[in-house]
Amino acid sequence: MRSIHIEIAGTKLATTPGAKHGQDLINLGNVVAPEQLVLEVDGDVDIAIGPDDVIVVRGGERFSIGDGSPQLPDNPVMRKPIAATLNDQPLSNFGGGRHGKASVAELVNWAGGGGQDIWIDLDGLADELLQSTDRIVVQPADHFISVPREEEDRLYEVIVILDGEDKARRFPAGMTVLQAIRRSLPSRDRPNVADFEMVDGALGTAALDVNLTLKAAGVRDGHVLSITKKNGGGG
Amino acid sequence: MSAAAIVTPKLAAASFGKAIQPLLTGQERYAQLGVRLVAYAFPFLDVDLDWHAHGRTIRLRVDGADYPYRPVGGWWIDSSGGRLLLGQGPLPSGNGFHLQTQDGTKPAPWFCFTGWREYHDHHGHQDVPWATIRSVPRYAVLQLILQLQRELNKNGVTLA
Repeated sequence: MRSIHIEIAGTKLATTPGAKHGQDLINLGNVVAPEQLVLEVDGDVDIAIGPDDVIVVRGGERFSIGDGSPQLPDNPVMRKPIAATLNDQPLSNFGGGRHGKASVAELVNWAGGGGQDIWIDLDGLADELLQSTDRIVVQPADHFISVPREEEDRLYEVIVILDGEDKARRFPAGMTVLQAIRRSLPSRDRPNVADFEMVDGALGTAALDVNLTLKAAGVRDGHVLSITKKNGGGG
Repeated sequence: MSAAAIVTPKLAAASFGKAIQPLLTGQERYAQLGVRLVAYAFPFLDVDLDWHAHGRTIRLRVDGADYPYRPVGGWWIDSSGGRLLLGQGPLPSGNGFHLQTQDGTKPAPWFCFTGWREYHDHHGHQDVPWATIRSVPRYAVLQLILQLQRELNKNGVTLA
């Protein structure tokens, strides 16, 4: 996997991108209690990172090390709502985004409650399923999605062929085909997701019904999916 | 008459080879999606496309000469590699699949889809220069082939 750089106390450090526990970064930065690892937030309140917090690093994040005296608040109230989204809507629409961190339980509640999993959409990386006990350090680039929980066949690991590349991806079984297409498309194409269709090579040649869940559509582990435009524009 | 190369064949071979590498190393994945590798020797990639709408396959030759300076060319071929013309075998017609040269004077099937050389050579498509889209992943060679296979099986494409 490619590596990225983050900065801790002015030192550039290499790591892999994705969701990490605070403890991983605390170890990386050699932060020793009572010191606190702190995410620098431009134009707003900085956020102290606890060892059990989950934070997504994409490269370029800057952290400082506080001396722990006094201890910074565990979950600060932000000056402005954080522009992260849940199911494509700003967290502020659900009354969230005011604190530096959100628990998965809160996200589930905002998404309507019930038996739902919360995923974080990581551009260019396999999306990650958050644990029900996780608490996330919310950043503007975070995009969360909720998916009905499947007790069996919870995840499908598939290959998606798009734009000349094969990518291994993990999708929740309860995700709809439309959601899976959307997650696979580059950001610029996502608003036009309805222009695309998905075929599962193991199921034949017909495009999958976008309204079905992957499970109901017949997608399973190891299947090869392709995404093409519904209308190739032949003239 | 053969046209002079614009891009040094070594460079074009490297670029084209890189673009089709996932097919060369993952033939079975593409076969599941209706694209079967037949042969590759630069500049030609030959693949069989499942034409399930008509219960058959058709062989496509993709020409990577001068790629990526020029888009890839494409035409239908028979089992010995000769260009397939109307009357020599089943050909798709309609919805972007044409049977005559662009001026309509000679039989020469071609297809009219963005990203293919014949599309960009057409006088009516000079508003979408290849140079402006060649780095767009949607026009990657393998995506063009997969999209072509889907188009081949759409309603409105008939057997000629």
